[in-house]
Amino acid sequence: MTSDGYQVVNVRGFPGLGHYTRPTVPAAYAPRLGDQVDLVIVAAAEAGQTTACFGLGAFYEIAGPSVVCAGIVVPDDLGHDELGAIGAWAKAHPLDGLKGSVRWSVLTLSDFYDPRSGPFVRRAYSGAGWCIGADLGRVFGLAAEHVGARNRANADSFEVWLPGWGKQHARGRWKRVSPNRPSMRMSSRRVGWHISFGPCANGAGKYVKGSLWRGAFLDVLTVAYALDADRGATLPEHYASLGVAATDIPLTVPVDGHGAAQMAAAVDAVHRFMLAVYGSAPS
Amino acid sequence: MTSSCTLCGATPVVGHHLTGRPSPNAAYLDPDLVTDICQRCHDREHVILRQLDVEWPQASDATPYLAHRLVRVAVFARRCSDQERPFVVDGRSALGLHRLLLEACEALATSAIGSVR
Repeated sequence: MTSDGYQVVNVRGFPGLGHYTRPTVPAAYAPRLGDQVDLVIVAAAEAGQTTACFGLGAFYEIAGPSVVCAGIVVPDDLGHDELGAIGAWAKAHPLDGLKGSVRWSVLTLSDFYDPRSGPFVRRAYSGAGWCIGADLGRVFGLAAEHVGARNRANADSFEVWLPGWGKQHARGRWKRVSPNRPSMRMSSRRVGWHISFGPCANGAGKYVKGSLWRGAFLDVLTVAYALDADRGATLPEHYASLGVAATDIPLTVPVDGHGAAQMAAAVDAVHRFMLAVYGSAPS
Repeated sequence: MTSSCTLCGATPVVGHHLTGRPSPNAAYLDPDLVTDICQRCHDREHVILRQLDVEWPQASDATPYLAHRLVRVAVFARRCSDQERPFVVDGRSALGLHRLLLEACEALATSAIGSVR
């Protein structure tokens, strides 16, 4: 309002009276943790390697606080002895699950990300549940068969092809193996990562309420930063500030029973953290 | 129908038969053993049962699906515990639970007698 009583209106970008559209009404209900069966994933590189390559991973399939099943993800080319050591660890450390004592399943990377029936696609794409992890860009970057930089307007993001989801064509481009399984797109946020599924061509792929399903990925680093505003904090520091028992997510692990134990602790820590956040969130 | 979903406290819309059916169009194993839950929880519970491989019984035995029925009730009780909700059943369902537990006791006693002999 000016001193002489006029209202100053900024008409820059004004679409004209005929082009007015009502603001979109927000959905009355937003999906919450535990509405569906969700996936919690962690991964670490193999210790003692000069270039980071996938070492071990772990996952929980959860329904809120309940752990429906759990597993350790191992590289496809793992030796017989290492696989035996991890299998022995899984047998010796059962989990207290819904059906009593649940054994950790041991899956190869290709089985876990199998585009038809793997746990990842079953929960994060077909099942439309949350996919929760710490530093998800690293998790998918370690697991990916191919990571390509995107260009032009998307220059700061990456296109990630999970094992079995894409193949390289004659002129070097990576394309979908199945028309219904897209690549993934990642871009870094101030803290954590923004992850989404890419589009599928010609109406293929999954649609939810008329829109392409982009996935429901949740990086706990981003959530923690939103809550404590500590930009440079590590995950245990975020945990401490939010009152959760701190467990670090290892960057590298040995590919044996000890490494499997570390990954199991890490996936449990991420699950506990999400429960703590969910419990403190207003209902 | 009770006033709130057993698992989340929302308005209940369906009765969840805790022990289910032996096959898709068969009669319920324990028709009285029902708890009221909301549609979202009902959908999710059946996803969990499928994942745990207890949606359908594996094979018939001398006691009609007794282990399967008990496991299903146990899974639901654990879900209530995880959700920090009381495991509440109304009078009719309590009767169904009573029958199921008595049947289990009888089967246990029979197997104990058999093992002694």
